[in-house]
Amino acid sequence: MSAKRISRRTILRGTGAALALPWLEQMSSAAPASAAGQLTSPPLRSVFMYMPNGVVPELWTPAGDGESYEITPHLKPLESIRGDFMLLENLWNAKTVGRNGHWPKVPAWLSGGYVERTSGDDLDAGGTSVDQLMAQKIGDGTALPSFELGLEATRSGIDTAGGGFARMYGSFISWRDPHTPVTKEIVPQLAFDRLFRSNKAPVISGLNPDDPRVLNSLQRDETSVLDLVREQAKALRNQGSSGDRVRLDEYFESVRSVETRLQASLKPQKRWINQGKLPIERPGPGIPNTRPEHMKLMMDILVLALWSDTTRVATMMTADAQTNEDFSFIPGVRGGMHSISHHAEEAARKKQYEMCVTWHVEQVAYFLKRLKSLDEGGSTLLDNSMVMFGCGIKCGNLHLEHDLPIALAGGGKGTLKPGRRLRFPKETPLCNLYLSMLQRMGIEETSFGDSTGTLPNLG
Amino acid sequence: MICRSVSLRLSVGAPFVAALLAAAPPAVTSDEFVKTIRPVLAQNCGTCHSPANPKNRINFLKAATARDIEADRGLWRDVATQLRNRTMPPVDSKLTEDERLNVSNWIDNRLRQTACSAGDFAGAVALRRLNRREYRNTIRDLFGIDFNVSEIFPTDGTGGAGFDTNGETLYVPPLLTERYLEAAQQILDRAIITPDLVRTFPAKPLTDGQEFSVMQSIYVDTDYDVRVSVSSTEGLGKLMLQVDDATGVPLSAQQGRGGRGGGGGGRGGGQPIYTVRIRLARGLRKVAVVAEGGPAAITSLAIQQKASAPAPEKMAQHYRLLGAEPGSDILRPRKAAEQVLRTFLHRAYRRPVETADITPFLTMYDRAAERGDPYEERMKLALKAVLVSPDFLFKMERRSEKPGIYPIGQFELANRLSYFLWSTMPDEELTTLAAQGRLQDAKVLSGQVDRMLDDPKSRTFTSTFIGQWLGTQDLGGRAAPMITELQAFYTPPVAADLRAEPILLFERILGENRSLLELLDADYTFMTDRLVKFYQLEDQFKDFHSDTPKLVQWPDNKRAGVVTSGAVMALTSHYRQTSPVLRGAWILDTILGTPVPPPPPNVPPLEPVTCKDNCVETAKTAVGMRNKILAHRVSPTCTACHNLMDPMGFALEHFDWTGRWRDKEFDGSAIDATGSLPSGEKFDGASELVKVLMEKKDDFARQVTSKVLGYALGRSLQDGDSCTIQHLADTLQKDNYRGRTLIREIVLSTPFRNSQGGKVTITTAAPPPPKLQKPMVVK
Repeated sequence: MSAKRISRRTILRGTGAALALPWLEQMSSAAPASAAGQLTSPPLRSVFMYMPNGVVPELWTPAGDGESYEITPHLKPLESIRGDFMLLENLWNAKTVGRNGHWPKVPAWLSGGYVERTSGDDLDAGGTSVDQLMAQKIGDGTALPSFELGLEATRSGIDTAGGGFARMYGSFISWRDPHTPVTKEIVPQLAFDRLFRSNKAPVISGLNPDDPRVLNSLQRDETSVLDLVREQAKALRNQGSSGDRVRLDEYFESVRSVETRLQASLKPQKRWINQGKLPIERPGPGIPNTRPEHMKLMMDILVLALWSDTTRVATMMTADAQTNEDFSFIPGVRGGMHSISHHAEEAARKKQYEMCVTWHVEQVAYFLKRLKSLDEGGSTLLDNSMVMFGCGIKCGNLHLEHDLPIALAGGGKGTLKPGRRLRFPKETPLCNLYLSMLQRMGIEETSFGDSTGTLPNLG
Repeated sequence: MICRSVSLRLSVGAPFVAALLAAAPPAVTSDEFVKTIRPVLAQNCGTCHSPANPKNRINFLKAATARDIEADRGLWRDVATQLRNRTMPPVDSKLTEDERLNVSNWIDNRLRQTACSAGDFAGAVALRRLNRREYRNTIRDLFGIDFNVSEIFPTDGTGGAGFDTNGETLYVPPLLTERYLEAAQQILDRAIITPDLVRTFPAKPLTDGQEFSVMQSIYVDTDYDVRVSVSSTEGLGKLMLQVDDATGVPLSAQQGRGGRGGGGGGRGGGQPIYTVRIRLARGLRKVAVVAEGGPAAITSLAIQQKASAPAPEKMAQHYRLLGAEPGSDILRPRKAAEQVLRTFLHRAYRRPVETADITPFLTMYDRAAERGDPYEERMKLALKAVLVSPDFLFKMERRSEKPGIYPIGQFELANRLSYFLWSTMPDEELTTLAAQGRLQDAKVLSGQVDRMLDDPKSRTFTSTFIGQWLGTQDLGGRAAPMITELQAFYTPPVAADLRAEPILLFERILGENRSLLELLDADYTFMTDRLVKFYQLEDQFKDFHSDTPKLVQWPDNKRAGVVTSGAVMALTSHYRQTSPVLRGAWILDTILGTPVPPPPPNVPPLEPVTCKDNCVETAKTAVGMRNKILAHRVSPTCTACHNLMDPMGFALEHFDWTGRWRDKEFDGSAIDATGSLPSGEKFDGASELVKVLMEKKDDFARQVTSKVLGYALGRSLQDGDSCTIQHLADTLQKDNYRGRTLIREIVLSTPFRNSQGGKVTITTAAPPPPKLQKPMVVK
């Protein structure tokens, strides 16, 4: 026993010394004996990374028509990994066309649906978002079915001048169903702990999960608590009016999903276990002072989530729609990004807008390069991922809706052939990309949103 | 993006716009419907919505006279909203902007004037969970603990009238359920003191490589000393401690117990002791000692929690909640638990409880008791379940399925009242009145409103309401963020002072029962040293010294009320540039409640930015800017709305983009702050604009009434509420717009004290477009 090597699984489970976070730090660099039920090859991950306020069209899209292209100013930060992503052109979301420049284009980005204009009484994203559909279909294979991150707190109020949209719409790309946005985590420490809370399995090493000592342990208390309140909600539901039922059902489902997650963590899941350490430390409390720091932490946590196979589906909002955060941290930029984005073709202003957009691409590049640096037994984490990034409008100044700025990075576990530029027929549904990604994730859907088929020629 | 044009002169749509902006609502005659309104609708909507068309399900055109509208109020409310929101008619229609504005306003006015024809309306408040602020305050009142949930819970959504009290946008995602569990544990760990763990297990000698292990529940995340006694150090190698089979850490000989001799085992008075301090997390833990490199004659293993000395106020909190000192022997613990739960549930559920309410939580108590947890831990588990239960998290109200209006229960009313004015659970007085069945009595209710407004707890209402209504809560964050180039005069404390100005104004109006019109024309504000500097009033406030906001008269008539406040002026500006358009739109929407339609899609930006170099030619001078805006008046698409918005904004041009006064334009030219409305009012500068706004006090009264009502009810206002709003606004006017009258009358109103059963037709401010509609495509 004394000479026993500690496998990562043991450490993740054996959280007795839990406060000495992160547990990954404790991990022996020596290879563990292969744990029972471990996957023999890395799984495929899907990430959707949203950028706000559009791009400068001519600085994003290369000139000409060919598969090869000269790197454009916006894409410059990706130059060293240009073989790892492809530009997808002429995609759009038809149902957002001609509508408010920002609000409906956020929920529709991943749902492809018609976003209802409402002041909040009945939000409708027009459909379930593609990431959440993935989570619902394959999410039970990981501790977290999906992982939603962002940098900005949910927006409040109604944009009356913008046509009566609840500004909340601008804060959510993930929708569990057309009416229920999925709250994203914006505090690094909470996001980090969430990865491990889901791993705080009530498994007590050496004991069978069905052992009464385990069933009656402190670790199982929350399951009992949730069980109890779920029953209460059920009883209340039968007394309430139909309006109440909707909310109580949501509560019920919410409780049940946390309960299911706790239950699932009892059973060993077939997961992929990467060797080695990932030097990502538990962040301090609160939101970092500067946006670059904040962004880097969230990106790191996302890398950790994927690397540790805690989730295989994630969304990240590098900013919310119409973000007007002060971007003066970029040398040469003054003021909030949204007001800068409406540059009215005024050169100095447009230059600042360009810098803001390129800064976002740099953040994506940082993330992709980290994925590429991580070996998963012969292939990299990036090889085993599909990272879609871009925006729901082409041009921040005019809110153009054609040919959205969309790119897809990663090798898709051998199903994608990156390093190219693919031009589809004009007005090809963005949902065709989602259908292609769904099928690669092993989800047998024949359509999604307003898709008319899959995207040809990706692989 | 705001990109519209403006005209300072009357143009095509003048007659109706003039009518719209007249001080009194225009008399909407049914004649006008037949002559003007219906023909426009018939022409632009008739193709699809003709009454003769069998496929048409949206049959508003069947109304032949204005009177017919009342039979279908909900549908007509939709028509106005769709027009205003541009969801209808499709973009290829020939409807002019003048017509769009005219018709939608006519319908709104007609519906308003006939609001009470539909009879009483109470509506049904959607089931609402506590929002973050309410949760925090409720925990404070339940436990005496200030627990900052904003660090743990995600931001609440807002909707309906635009407040975070709106039940329809208070979702319960799984993430929040996780956080509820976590918050409950943290709160109870602070409220209840679990006695320090001290436990000794007898052990048997180990051979080399053998382990001795115990299972122990750890209650508190903290440091623990693990001590192992050995009878002899003979042949002893290393002693390793393993928790849950994770990597071992070595135990070492206890200091100060001898310690001579190579083996290192402490010798002294008793047996040698080996010890290590480790941090343990809550949960059942396997704690094991392993002998490495030789046998170990261990005799006992002790786990001792690092001693803690709880502060006296923590002890008092504990005692208040459980009625016993931590660790004290309780004669009949289960009976005691039941009693504690009964008292606690009554408060946490904010209603009387029955035994059936208590039983489920006693099963939690039993679960912990059966595994031998101390009394304190058993109570923690039971109370944790309470804090996650729907009856605690939601503002429960019993419903009737029978159609019709019925008064809500006494405790439900106490809850509505308390969460409205205090954002927290009812206090003892409210609870007592509810128990006595006296809360539905109008006199009692009025008395309670006064008492509650006098209580400092009502500040949470004033600050939340004003911050969310005016949008000033975002100042210094999302709106007018801190940027380095302004740091000389614009800092976080200054932003806080600017946010506080309108709040303190509202607080004074409610506190002294003054006129709500002072929100528009107060000639005073709340000054600090920092604001003196920000407003550049050092000369006028030479002898003024105050770190906290202090009531002062403005030294001149440059500013009055909230419209001219630094906060509002900053949040309605672009970066380094004022925006007459944004400012005008803000007044129409926020202050008068008469928002204009959004710009048509993809209109190019109108306002060029102000800058020193590289500017488009016209933007280099202030006159150029203004002319550029004015030039667009030739476009009929823009005039209808910009004629309303921009003149008001021009009147505020003396306030720069940070909210400070300026005498000159950025290019050194004189400020032109003149404007005139299509209805004929002319003004120069803010103080004259304020006078014009004061003439529109009916619009303002209706707006402030709807906003407070929406905040209070926590739901979207519906067509049926227009009667209530009109009635409230009339009462307000008769009582000189006194602040308390509004609050009191809202509390006494039908929708606040009642609920409505059966099918309540819900017509909201923003209905979904008809299903047949295809997305509009601009080619």
